[in-house]
Amino acid sequence: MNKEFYLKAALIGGCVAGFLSVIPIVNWLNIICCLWVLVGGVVAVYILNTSAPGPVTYGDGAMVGMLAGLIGGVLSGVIKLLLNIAGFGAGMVALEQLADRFPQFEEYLGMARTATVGAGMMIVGLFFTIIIFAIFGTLGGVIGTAIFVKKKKEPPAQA
Amino acid sequence: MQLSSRRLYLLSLCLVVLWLGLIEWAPFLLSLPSSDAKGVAFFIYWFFSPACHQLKESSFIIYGNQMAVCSRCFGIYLGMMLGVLFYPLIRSFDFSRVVHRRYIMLASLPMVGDVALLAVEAYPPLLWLKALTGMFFGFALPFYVLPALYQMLGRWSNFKSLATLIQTRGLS
Repeated sequence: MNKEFYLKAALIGGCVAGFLSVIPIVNWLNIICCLWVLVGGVVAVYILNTSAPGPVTYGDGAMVGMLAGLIGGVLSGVIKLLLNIAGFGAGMVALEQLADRFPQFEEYLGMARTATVGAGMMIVGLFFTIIIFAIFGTLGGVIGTAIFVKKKKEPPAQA
Repeated sequence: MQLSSRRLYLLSLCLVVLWLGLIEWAPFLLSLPSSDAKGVAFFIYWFFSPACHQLKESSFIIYGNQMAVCSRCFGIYLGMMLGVLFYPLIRSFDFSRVVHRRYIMLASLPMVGDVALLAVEAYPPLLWLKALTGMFFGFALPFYVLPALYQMLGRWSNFKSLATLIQTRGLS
C-alpha cells in the first residue's frame, strides 16, 4: 500500500486524538481508557479504509493507529507544554489532579512548581503521554479495523 | 526486522505481565515507608493517569492503597493477560489469521451493557462486576492485537520508508 495513504490517515487520526485531548471538558473523556486516542486510531483506520485502494489488514490498522497515537501524543503534549509556558498551567493540571486523588503526592506537586524540576517533569509527562497514546492508538487501530474492514481473502503468505 | 511468532508471543506476554505488575506494584510501593518507593509509586500512578480516572471509589484496594487503574481497566488488562496466556491453546501460534470481528463485538457487550445500566442507575456500582465485564473484552483483544502486531512488524520496512517520506516531503 502507498505510504502516503498511511501518512494522511495517521495525520487526521492524530489530529483528532491530539486536539480532542486538550480541549477543556471534552478531554475529560480521555479518562475512559484514553477514549479520544482510541477514537483517533479508529478514525485513522476509517480514513485509510476509504481512501486506500488495496485491502486494509489488521497490520495496517495497527500501524496507522500507532502512528496516529504518536502524532496525537506529540500534538497534545506540545500544546500542553506551550500553554504551560504561556502561563496557563495546562501541563500542571494532570499533576494537580493526581495530587487531589493521592494526597501522599502533594510534595511532588510542590516540587513540580519549581522551574527546574517542573521543566523536567513536563518532559517526563510528555514522554508518558506519547507512550500511552501510541499504545492506545494501536488498540484503536485494531478495533477500527474490526469495525470498518470487512474480512477479505488474505493475501498469499510471503515466502 | 521480523520476529518469529513465538518470540512475539513471549514479548507480548512479558509486556502485558509487566503492565499488570506495575498496576499492582504501585499500591505496594506506596505502602512502604521508604521515600524512594513512594517516588517510584508516584511515577507509576502518573504514568497511568492519562488512561484512567483512578477514582478511589471505583478501584480495588490492595496493601491499603488503590490500584493504579480503576476496577474496569484492571479487568480489561487482566483479561488481556489471560487472552495472551490462552492464545496458543485456542489458536496455536498462528498469527496469520484473525478471528471474525463478531467476537470482539460480542465480548464488548457485557461491558457496554454494564456501563449503560450504571448510567441509568439500574443497580449500584459493583467493582467485581466492572472488572468481570471488562475482562471479557480484554480477553478478546489479544486475538486481534497479536496478529495485528505480527503483520505490523512484517511491514516495519514500510514504516522506515514512511519516516524517509516525512523527512523528504515534510508533514504537509
